[in-house]
Amino acid sequence: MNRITKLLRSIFSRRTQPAQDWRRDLLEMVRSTDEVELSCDEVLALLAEYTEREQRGEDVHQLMPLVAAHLERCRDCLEEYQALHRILGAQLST
Amino acid sequence: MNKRSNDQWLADLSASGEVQAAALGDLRALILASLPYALSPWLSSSDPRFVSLAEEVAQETLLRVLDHLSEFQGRSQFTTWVHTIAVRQALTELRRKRWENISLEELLENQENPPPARLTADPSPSPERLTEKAELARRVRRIIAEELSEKQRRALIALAVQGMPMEEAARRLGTNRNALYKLLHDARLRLKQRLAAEGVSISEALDVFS
Repeated sequence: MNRITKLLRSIFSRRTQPAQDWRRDLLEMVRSTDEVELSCDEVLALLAEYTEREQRGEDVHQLMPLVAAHLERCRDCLEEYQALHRILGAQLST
Repeated sequence: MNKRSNDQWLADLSASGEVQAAALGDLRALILASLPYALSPWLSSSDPRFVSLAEEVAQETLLRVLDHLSEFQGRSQFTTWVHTIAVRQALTELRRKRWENISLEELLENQENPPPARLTADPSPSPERLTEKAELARRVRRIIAEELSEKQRRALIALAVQGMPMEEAARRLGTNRNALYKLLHDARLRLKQRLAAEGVSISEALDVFS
């Protein structure tokens, strides 16, 4: 599961269960932290290529690992990737 | 609509007069047609707010496309590249609208003081074990407190509140999305290195919080 999603699910007090410590989610992200990571804009510049290649059945986790890694960490970029995926998917079916 | 190749798109958009106008018109239509798919999880195309948002996004996207035409490297279809710009534009705008009225104080309440670490993972914890664990918990919390700047800590807590987007957290911290990402990347790296230096494995550290 996307790590930022887990971070974001650190629960606000309205629930009856105790809130999950944000530090826990931070530590989980630390585990997968790399020296070199792309920024959101750098990922955006590669997203068209990434999504098209993935739709063609290429193994983008292998071929574009920095983008894949960023999408695991960054919920906002993941949402944008999913939106693009929906658009391209709609094009294919018309 | 005639399908243009990447080169034809570039040529037509760089041209003037009717040729450019036609290309822009076609591109606008493409963007508007794609936005219902892009926004479907959050906003239905039959929602009264959809039309004006879509128009705004299309307009802004066309401007950005023209401004950044030379940055298109041909690694994808031109139209996909345009869709990417439109998607970033659309989602940024949607997030901004949704979050502008929410008070940070409401959201951050109760995030500052975590619940005590549950010790029930250990079936029969001995006093020594409890002390060890408490000691490690104190140590890990201290390490985190020492390695994070105040800004990093605030950013992490803000993001930990369900659904706060990067741009919103960035705005409240007086920065931008990319800078925020880098700030947090720095925090994660420092923590990783510090924990390693202290001989604390991440599994151990995580264990403290379960």
